[in-house]
Amino acid sequence: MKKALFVLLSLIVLLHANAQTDYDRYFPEITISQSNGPAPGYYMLTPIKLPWDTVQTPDFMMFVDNYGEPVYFHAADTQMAGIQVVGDYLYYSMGPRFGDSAIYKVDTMLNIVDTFHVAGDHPMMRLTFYQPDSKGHYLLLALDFHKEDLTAYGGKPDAVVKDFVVQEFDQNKNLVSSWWSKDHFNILDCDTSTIDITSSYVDYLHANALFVDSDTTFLVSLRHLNEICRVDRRTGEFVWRFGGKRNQFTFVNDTVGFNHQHSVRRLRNGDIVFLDNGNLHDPPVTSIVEYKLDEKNMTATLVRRIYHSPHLFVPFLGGVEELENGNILAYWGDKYPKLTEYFPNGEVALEMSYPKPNLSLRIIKTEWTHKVFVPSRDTIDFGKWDGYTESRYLLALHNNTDSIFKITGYATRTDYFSVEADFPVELPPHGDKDITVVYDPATAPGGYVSDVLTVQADYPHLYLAKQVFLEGRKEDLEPPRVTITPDTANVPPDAVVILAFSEPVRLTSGRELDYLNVDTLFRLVAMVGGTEEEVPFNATVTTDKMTVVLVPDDSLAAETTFRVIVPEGLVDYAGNALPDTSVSFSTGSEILGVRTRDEGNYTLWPNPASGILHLSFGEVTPKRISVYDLRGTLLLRKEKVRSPACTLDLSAFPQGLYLIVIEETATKERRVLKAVIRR
Amino acid sequence: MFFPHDIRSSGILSLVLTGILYWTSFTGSAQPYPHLRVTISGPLPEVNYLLATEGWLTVTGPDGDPCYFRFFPKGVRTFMRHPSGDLTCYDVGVGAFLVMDPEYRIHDTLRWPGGNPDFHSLQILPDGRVLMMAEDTRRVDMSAVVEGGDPQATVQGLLLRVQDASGNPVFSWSSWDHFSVTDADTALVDLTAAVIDYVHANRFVITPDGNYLLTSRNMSEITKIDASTGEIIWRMGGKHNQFTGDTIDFRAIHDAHFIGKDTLILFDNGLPGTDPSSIKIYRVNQTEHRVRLLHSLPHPQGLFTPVMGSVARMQKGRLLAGWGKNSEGILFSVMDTTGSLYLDVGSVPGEALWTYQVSCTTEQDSLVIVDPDTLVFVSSTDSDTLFQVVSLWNLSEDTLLMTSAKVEGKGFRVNATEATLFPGDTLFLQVSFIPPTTGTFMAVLRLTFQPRREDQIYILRKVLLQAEVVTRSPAVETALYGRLYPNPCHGRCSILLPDERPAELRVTTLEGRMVMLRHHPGGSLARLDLSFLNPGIYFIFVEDKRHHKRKTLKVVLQK
Repeated sequence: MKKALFVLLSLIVLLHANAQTDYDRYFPEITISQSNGPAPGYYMLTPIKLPWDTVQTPDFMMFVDNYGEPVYFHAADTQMAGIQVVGDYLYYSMGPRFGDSAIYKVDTMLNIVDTFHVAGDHPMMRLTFYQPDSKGHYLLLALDFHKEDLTAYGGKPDAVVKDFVVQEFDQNKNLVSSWWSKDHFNILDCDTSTIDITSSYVDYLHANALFVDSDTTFLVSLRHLNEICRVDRRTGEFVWRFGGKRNQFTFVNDTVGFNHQHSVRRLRNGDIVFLDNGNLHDPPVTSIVEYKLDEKNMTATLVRRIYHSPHLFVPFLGGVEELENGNILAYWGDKYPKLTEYFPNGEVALEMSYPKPNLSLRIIKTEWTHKVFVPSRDTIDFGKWDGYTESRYLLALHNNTDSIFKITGYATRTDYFSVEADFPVELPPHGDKDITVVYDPATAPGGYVSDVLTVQADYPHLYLAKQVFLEGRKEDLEPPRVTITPDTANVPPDAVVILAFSEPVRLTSGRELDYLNVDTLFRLVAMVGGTEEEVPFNATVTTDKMTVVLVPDDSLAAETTFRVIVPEGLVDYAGNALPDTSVSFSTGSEILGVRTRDEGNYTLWPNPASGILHLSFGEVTPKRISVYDLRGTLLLRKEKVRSPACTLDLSAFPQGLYLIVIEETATKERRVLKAVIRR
Repeated sequence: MFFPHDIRSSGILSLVLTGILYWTSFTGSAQPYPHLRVTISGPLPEVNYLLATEGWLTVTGPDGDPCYFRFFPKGVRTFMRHPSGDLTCYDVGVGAFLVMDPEYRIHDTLRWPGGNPDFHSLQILPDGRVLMMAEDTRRVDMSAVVEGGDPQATVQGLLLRVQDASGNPVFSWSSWDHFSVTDADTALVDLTAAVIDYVHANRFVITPDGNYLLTSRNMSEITKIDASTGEIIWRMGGKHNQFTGDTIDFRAIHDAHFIGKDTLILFDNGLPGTDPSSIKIYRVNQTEHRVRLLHSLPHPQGLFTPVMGSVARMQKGRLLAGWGKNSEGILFSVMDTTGSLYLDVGSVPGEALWTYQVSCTTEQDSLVIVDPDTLVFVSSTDSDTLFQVVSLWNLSEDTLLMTSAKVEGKGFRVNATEATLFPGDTLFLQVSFIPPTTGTFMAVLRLTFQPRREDQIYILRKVLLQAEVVTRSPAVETALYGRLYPNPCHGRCSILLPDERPAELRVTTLEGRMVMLRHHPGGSLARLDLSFLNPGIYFIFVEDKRHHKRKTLKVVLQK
């Protein structure tokens, strides 16, 4: 029988017509601390509480855009996880905290059209997600708890051992095969330095990811073996074992390997990528790793290892996904930020945080969206504004349901666009109704004006939205300007260069600035003995295309004069050219010249911030925390900080870059973090 | 003549001199309202100007110096005076026209039934009839109309409505019944766009023969509509032009209306990259559908105004041009049909103001009467401080706070800077002058009144202050004796009588007919009020009977 989640929710709507909605009550405050042109699509998250979390908010599922604007929000009493999009369908697993879960298949009308369970009474399905192969078969991972006599290993005679089984089903949900882990692993394969096999409960494998990487093989990540293995589904034999005690590969370009890893995936280029939680690294530090595996010569070449800056240590959970455009999405377990999207070159595309409950077992980013109601178009181009008259567009909204559907409101990010409608707008069953979208960019800077309209339907237990891209033009005769900092003497050698444009800029050719071309547009030169020496740097551009940050590859030479050169070639969106500009600054002595990339286990967020910064530490030891500006002036100091986290209020200080110096009271060991204040 | 300080910094000379440029307040003044840049280059009509510069409803005096401001947080548009005598403006926040009396008191709101009226145009006739417009937005499959058209385009049509004094409709008209979307001027409208504003009417007025005239910017067309049937009588300009004679090449036009039975005036914005925008006046033979272009008057600076603009005929053949939004920030000009400029008002650098249109009125508010509007001090270097008194009379219905009284210029002081005036109250301000050195001194006493401090309503008044400091000698006294200020005058004038001897003042017409006789005790200043006389030139004979000293003055009285 087809379960109609949506119809059920509609009934609840009728019963709670005036109640405050779950969205009002529970939607978290989302902080986007960095945004440099991330991939299109929606982040799909299913945050759950940890057993010791005391927050009252229930677990929920939400889809948010690159600005943190939600398009879907649904709170639930049970845990949701394993979110996945295959074709037009959304899949997610849902079940009680320690019980068996099922995978639900949801169509674009939000109807549950299918349910998937593991076979048999005894195993429990946890953490997994729906993975079909090209034949329509699918694999599920189930846990297998059984009693075993471990006295031969010095353990208990009746220890409860946690194994797993990979079950393969055909299109008709018939169980085709089962691959039992207990038939293939030895209990001594596990990392006995961290896993106690003499205890009454032995989780010696801790399988945390199953990935169908071909029609004949699958990958499994085994956290407590520090191993990833590839299994032939036809024979049940290992194709290879990578990492841990039974490693068959020679590591190339990698001296540390990986451990306690999560979320193994096969990239489209054939490499494998996963999150190396790194509990056993010294010091523990988490990174994203990509290996190229040569199955003939049995070499594993480390292609890249991306660390979060500042370094993060995620002791459990977390993961990594490859996006459609090749970007990499990493999620950081219980740590902040919650997720970071990286460009393929390892630069940050976006970073997002939100309060508890915030532990997502999986986060994906896709352009999937429901069709409960749909706007008549995805983009409205209002053309050129005449300078004073509002422009109006009639946007039809179509209701695909059998009952009246209510549109309750809208959101835009700017005042340049708005909607005229008497909310709630009732869409008749399978019918249309217009809302009027108004374009009035009186207060907009000139040139290209854009926004996203989010049309909202906020029901008591379900929040749904659809987005329409809005654009228009406004006369602009003013050329853009750029302010370059630093432009003074005595700049710390660790400074970064910030180019702040008065309006969005792009290349003369009309091409947008992106993480690749922005590296080649600007020059940073050191003036050495009357000649210019190029200083290598990495550049990022923000999503609004108004800020470029040049981060020198190494600390700048002390007591040297530098020039930042912005050559011709940039224009605003109306085509007005930015005149070539340059500024000079000179560095002071090396007192504050500590590279922030070497920080230990500190987390600073949000960064950039508008005023309040949160700082958390790995170890709770007394510290002195000082905030300096780029001239080295002490602005703020906190002594004997013993808590695991503290808050720094920089809201009284102007925009710019600040240095946070953390000094261990006992050892006098210093770490320097950089914080950007931007409003 | 010695100017006491930088003439650009205030309007102090505007009442006595022409050919000057000034800013209507000190730059950087803390006042939130806009500052204007004024150039006076000829005799000024006795009218106040009405502007809506974005959020600020603005009234300026004849010299362009503001006398009233009111702020509308969501914006205000089209501040105009109607044939009925009403003043109206469009409040963007309310989405309706506010109807005001000459004291700017809002006494009515004009709405479009079930929606917002179009702010571009409104006309209230003496019999209370109201002509108004509204947008009528519809979805049109433009792919069936033009190649490449948007199948889901939104097209903005136009509705016209005339209602009687009781609000009952007497005429209604829809562009969907009379204009085709393809009538749009394709230099202005992209028919393949998602949003198409094919008419963009900006003026809907009655004609001298009782029909209606519609100006449609985006069709570059003037349309005469039969008031009884709604049928189109004729179309001028655009794709369906029916007129011959002089070439009709106006584009993106505004504010066409008849200023005589057959004389049509309009603001021709033109297209970018062509001629500057101009005022055009045509003689129209409506029977034979022939036109003759009488005048084409651009701004002397050759302004191009892509959007907005207005024109009105004033007394004595002068024209009031509203220059809309242009790169020079010029708001409006008074000119004549030879193209001579009398007054030019724009924004100061850094404050790019615009007004959709500008209107004028001969009525002046009487919220606060300041008397006199000019103080003249005559002093010698050995004199003590001189004092004179200005009376402020609150004739409004509200208690008014005088929130500032500030002298712009050297040598003068005022004894109070803040005061409360209850309705009907009179307050006397004492202005003192301490002679610093010999010479001529000029200053302006600027007074600001507000109903409440938190209200963004400002009533501005000014008193011109003049002083002459001389080294006392018989020769100087003779030279100063009988000096007349101001000349030309607008009613009141003052004559210097520096010695203590009584004098007789006789005012006569050029033909010698005596119209006024005054005996003056002598010392300082004699004030004459000639406002009861017709404008013209008069003789004033000043005679010291005892010493047989006689001086003949000639004064020009303007109104």
